[in-house]
Amino acid sequence: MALNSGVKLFVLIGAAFAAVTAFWRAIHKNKRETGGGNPLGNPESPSKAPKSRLVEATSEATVIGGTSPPVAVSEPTFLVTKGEAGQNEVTCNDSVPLGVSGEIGGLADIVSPAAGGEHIHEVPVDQTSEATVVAEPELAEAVCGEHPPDQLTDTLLKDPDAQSLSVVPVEAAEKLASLQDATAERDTTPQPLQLTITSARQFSTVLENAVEKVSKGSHGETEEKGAARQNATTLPEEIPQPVQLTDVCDGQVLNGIDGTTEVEGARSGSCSEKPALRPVTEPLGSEAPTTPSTTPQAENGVVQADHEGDNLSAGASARSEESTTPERSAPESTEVGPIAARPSSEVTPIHKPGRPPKYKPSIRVSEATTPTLRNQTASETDGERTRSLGVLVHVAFDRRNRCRISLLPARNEDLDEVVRVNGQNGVESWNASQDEWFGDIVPANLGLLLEQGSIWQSIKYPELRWVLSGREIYVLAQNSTISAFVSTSRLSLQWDHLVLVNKRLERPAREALEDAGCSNLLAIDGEGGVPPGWVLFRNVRPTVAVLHDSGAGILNVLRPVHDIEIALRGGIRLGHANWLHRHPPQIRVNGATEPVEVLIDGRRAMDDGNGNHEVTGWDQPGKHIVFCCGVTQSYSLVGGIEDWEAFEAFTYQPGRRERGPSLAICGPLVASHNPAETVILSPSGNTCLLGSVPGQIVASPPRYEVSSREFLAIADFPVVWVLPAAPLQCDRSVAKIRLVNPHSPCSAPRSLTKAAHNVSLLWCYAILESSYKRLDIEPGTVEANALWQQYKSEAHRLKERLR
Amino acid sequence: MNVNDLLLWLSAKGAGAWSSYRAKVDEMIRIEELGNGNTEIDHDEDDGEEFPIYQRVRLNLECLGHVEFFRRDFPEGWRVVPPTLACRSGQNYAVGILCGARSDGLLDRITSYCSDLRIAVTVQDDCPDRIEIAAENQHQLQLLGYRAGIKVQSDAARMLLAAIPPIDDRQLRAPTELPFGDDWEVARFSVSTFEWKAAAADHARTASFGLYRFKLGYRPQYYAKLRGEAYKVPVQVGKYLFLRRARRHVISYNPAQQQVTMPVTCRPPILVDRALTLCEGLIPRIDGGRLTYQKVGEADASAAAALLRQ
Repeated sequence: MALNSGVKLFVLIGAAFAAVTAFWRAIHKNKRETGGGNPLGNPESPSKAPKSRLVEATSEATVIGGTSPPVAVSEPTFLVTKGEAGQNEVTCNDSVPLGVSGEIGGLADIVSPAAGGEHIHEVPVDQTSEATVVAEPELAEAVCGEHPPDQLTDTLLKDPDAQSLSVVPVEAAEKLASLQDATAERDTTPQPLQLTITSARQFSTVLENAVEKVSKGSHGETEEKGAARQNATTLPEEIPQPVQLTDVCDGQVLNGIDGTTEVEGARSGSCSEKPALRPVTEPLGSEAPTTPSTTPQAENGVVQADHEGDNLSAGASARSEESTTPERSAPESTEVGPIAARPSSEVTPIHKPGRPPKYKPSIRVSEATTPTLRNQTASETDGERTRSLGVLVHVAFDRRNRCRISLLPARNEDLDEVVRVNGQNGVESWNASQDEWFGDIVPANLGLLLEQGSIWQSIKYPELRWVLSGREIYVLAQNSTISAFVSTSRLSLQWDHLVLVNKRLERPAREALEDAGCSNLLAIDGEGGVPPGWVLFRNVRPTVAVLHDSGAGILNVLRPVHDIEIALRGGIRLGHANWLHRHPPQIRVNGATEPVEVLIDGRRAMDDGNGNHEVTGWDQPGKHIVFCCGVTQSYSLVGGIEDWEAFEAFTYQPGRRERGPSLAICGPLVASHNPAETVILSPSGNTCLLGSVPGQIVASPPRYEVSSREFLAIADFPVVWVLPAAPLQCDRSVAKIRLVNPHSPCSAPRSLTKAAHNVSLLWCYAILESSYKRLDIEPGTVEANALWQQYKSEAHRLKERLR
Repeated sequence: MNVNDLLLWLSAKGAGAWSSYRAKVDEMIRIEELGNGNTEIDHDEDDGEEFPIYQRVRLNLECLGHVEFFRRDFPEGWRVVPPTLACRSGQNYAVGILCGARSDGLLDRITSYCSDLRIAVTVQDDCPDRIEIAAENQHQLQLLGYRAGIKVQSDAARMLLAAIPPIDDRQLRAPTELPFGDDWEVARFSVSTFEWKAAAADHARTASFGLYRFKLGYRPQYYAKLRGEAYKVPVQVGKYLFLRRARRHVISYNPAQQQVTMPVTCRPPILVDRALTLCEGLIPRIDGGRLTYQKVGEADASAAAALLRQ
């Protein structure tokens, strides 16, 4: 009796299990008929596929007692084929018609109400791991021969849930199989493996398998597997879910702090020697599959991103450093080397500039002690090694009081003279205007940029960018490095400002300015050169300090507070903080409404009555430090160049028909190329130049065909006299003997060469013929006449000797 | 703005790029000075637009021989001239105009060595102060230059006028081809009205004679067509070249007042301008649309006229 009851109980249990199985099968079939189909798009029957081996993974349960009603269950059919790359491709086709299976014959049909009256063949089902595949045993053996037991018995291959596999495309299934392969071989081949997840379902499958591997480590425990599957399949299929980067290391997958998945052990560095999986995620619904071959490989633990920034592959050490937030997968998050280390010839893709930041004014209230969001962003930027430079607003007025508003990109001295940037208006080239600034830019959509801000990213150095934070109010003040007004943080007491306000805030801005004591406001709108939608206030000189209010927002920039600023104005600034010695800057303290102590080089400075602070030695060469109320400013006084060299600014050759050396002009200086040559002015008729040494004689004709009274004569010796070229034929009333440089005549050497003999004779004849003609001497002084007599005597003696 | 400080800055730096000069002018100029420019000036380069102050200062610095701009070794920059006494002398006097670089130390040395000489400092707009040192003869000036470390150029104006070629010399023009394309703004110089009149680019290319301005952007280029050949010329050289061809005389000289005058648009080339300016040491006065150079000797005036083929 007991035995009979036990048999009945067992039969009931078996019938219940068969009913559940039939119910599940009916649901699955219904889904397939209503549009599921074979997502692989393979219309052929698996049995007709070439080189395919059909494995009917039907299980046969051990019949206990042999009286239980047989239940036929058509298990999903798995098609294992060889992929192109040699890996196994696993597909599932669960559309095998009922009754095809060879195990059905001889068994009674049952009708399951849940299946809509469909007859389901009853087959014995074995849920144990010892169950063997009895259908198509030769194919099963073949499959087992190609796949290790770990793989064949892995979750995916044993999973009866065909739907979870059927929606996975071929590529994804290939990757899944690769995942299994890699997981199985990770102990022997520690290679990083990439995995692309193209859908939430795929992600859930991967996650399921990974969890299964971690939690079990053995196959056949279907309860835990089913539970894991159930958890994993709770993700909705159609609703896009933000899939986070998932790290699988050592088979352990954990959720990150912010809901992301991270690998336990990776942060501790334990997986550095283990094969790592780094699935690359795409937003759900993305149609473009990711090809693993296009994913850059991690090198030296540094993450590299492709130009789109979608695919990432990482070395193990890199993953331990970077965050797994979606933003960090953007191009900006990639770790890059310093600017100087990047070769200039490297072709860098044009990166799209990000969203411009909104300006957040510094609100100086007592409770504002926590760091602002801007500081947090700055630290993050530091980690990314991104350099940001400012773009200021520059306003100048012409003589017609029409303003010119432009943008002024900041510059460092280590930047190139010309930079190419990519901004909202496309690629632009900026030329350096001075050490601190590039030239002004006036974009057509200036008004929009002022309001919304903009980012210009360097094309050569993507980590370098210029930022204009958008705001509704710009306060402009005079700057020590450039003329006119440039944007600054806020109003300062007793200083002239301009205020550029979006017209939406014109009225509250005017009220705020009036509260600050600005009485003679002058508003300039679009007709005066202001961009549309903006208004410019002139004559803004706040005289009353106004407390900041947290609720006033941007209007706080129009509330001048007692703000200490050390201003170095005037003097002759050579560059940055260096001033020319003896022309130091004026040291002023702005923002102090009551007397404050100013220290220069540690000594208390005195006010000279004009607001300038001085102390003994403040204007001496060297570096000086000014300190006031916690604010420090330094300046240096240095000397300039004192040794200036002449150079050839202009160089002219003689005229086309003349010959002679070229002349150089530098400022008022006129000189010959040869420093030994003498350049003198000579009367137009006096082309014969004489020196003090017999033989120093040269004829220097005019260089150009110009009818002037004087011409430039050049000789390679110190010229004493200039004489007419042909004294005996010249007009005595006009021609003169001109003394250029008084110098006594020298005696000729005793022995002369033939050439020296000839030129010495010429020297003598020129003097004697001029004397014979009785030409006047200029200047007609006694000394000049006496000197001429000396030359005349020397010429006589030498002529007698040389004869 | 204080151009003395600008000259000190230029001297302390020695040389630099045009952008640095322009930025320094922007930095040193006071806002209230922006509207005080002289509108009655040659508008060749800007053609009706106001002449920027940095250009005015640049021209003045060049005319006075303090700084050279855009020369062969620094086509986009400037370089300061070494301190030089540009002298002119008569029978009983010699006067030196301090040109070139200046520094506080240099001025101190000059002051200390000039106890027996007379130093006159004259303030002028948009220029460094004129520092004029008067002596009895050039020897005293040369001695001062030796002591203070200053170069001395005797008869500076006459030397300059004697050193430079006339305007029709081939060194002052370079054979070239006219710019290609139709997007140039072309104008032709009228020797009768001294104005630039719009012309077609094709007309300039086919013309055998005339001075043309090709403008694309902010920097114009000037070309002279002579016998069908195109030459690139400095604009003032080109103007006087075609004034000579048209036999128009625009320079006048008053020997009693020692003044050389000419229309503003016919300002002479830079070195002639410098020579005439250094006769007095002050930039030419602009009055009634004419430039007036003071204290120009008859010889200098005739030499300048000869160079300009007037």
